[in-house]
Amino acid sequence: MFEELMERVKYYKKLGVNPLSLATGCAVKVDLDRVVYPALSELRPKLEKKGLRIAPREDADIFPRTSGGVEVHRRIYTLGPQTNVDPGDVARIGPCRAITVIQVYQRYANQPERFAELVGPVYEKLAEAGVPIHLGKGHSIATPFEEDQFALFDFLKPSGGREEGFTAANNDTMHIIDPTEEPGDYRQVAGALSNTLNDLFVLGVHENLRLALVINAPIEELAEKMRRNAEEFASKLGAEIIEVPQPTRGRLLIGATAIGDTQKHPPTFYGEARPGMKLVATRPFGELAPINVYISAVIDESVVEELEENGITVEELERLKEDAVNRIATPNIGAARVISRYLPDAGEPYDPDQHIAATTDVTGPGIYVVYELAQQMRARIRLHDIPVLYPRLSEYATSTYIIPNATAGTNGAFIAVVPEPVVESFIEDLRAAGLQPVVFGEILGRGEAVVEAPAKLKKYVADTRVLSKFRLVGGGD
Amino acid sequence: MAKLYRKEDGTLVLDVRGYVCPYPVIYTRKALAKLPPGGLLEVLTDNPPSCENVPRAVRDEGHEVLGVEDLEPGVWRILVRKKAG
Repeated sequence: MFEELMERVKYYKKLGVNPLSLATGCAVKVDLDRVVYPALSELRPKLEKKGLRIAPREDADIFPRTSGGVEVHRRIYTLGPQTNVDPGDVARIGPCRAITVIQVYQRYANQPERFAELVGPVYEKLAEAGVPIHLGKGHSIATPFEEDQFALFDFLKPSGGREEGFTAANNDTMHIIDPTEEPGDYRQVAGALSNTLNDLFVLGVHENLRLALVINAPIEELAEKMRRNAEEFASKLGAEIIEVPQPTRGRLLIGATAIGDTQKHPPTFYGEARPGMKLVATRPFGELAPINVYISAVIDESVVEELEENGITVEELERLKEDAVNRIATPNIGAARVISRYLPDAGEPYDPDQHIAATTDVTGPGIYVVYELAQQMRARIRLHDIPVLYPRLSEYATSTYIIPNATAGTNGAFIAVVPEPVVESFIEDLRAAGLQPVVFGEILGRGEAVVEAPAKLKKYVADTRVLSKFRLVGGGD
Repeated sequence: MAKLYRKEDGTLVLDVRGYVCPYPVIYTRKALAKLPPGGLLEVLTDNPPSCENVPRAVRDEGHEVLGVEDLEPGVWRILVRKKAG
């Protein structure tokens, strides 16, 4: 298998890309808590005086639905003091919201001050437009190449009168899903687009799906192949592609701003956490572990020997990696439809015996999203299990630091906080949609965020920043 | 691929600048395998999480981490002594 792969590595290199330096999936994000939000908090007061509102951290921007839909106007800007933002142009567009993608050189991706120096001038220049803009979902990714930095703004302009329901928008853009496969392959594109849609699907939003693609490649032929695959993906899903300009700089980029509608109220009832509510995962998680171990095995033959000592053959590793990539390339629209059945209609009150209180998706931070959920809901949570897809492989990947958090995923599973009376039917509906749901925790009560987890979490997470957020209980298993 | 070279004093230098996880950890393990017991390895990285993951991975295998220091803004040097025998 490795010969084939080395051929692909040569192909990537011809494109000026070393696939073995690309981060897989969501691993490419700039740390929100340590970098992005501290940097933006400095800017926020100054910008708000000029009508530019940076939303608090959110996975998707949710706003009232309108009869005329949403116009998308894309602009791509340079970062830093020489930014090419044209305030007059922004004023002419007259947007009221924006979704952003900021790509920064990875050397600056750990420094809030440097990050602020790069993005600050962009926002300050935008503020000169004098147009009140709600800056919703902001996505920031790191690149190993300084010349590939940019800020992409999708300005959203809802039109028409207010309609019942909500619209949600999100952008996720990445470099690659599986560096061992060709970059233009259908599954790479399907995985990246499914991943951006995931933040809509987790809210139960699945109607009128639209995609404003972010696609870039060092050669036009490859970019064209990626576009064709994106069109095929959109067609299978019944999604519309919105024509927008592309960054035309940098190496590989695959993603989109995804927009969708719902007639339900999204599950953002964070104040409704009640004791006895269950945490249901739509399936076990941890898709990135096999991909990372596979890459490691290609680079370092001692990994193959160690795996075999752990009872995992190369053939099994390959099979698990295929399974993981297939999962990532499958959109979670089935789970979205089920979630929407357990939500109140827009304008109707929340029923604590029938409606899902909150949801989250298990992406780059892996199991850490449960702690974030506890914070949002001001709840105490107990986890009975850590449902991972590939326990033995994940354990190996963690113990060797190949992946310090083997619960991480891309286009990952959903976790829903479900009232006890409807847990059974929710699970049946998920099974009917072809998923493997698992009840793995419950709400103990309200209060300061605390998450109890079985001690075996240490087998799957070596990252102390993540582990420190959990109160580990019980023995090794 | 990552750059590997030897300095005049015999220290092996692994330059994984431009590489993100999991590559720095993997290349570090490979580089250590090339060293004699007690030999020194210098890892150069510009990937912040590697400053945590590389030291922990090598410590778990019994090697000694002599230091993690800023080389220049956004670049770190991790100095490792390979375990004896």
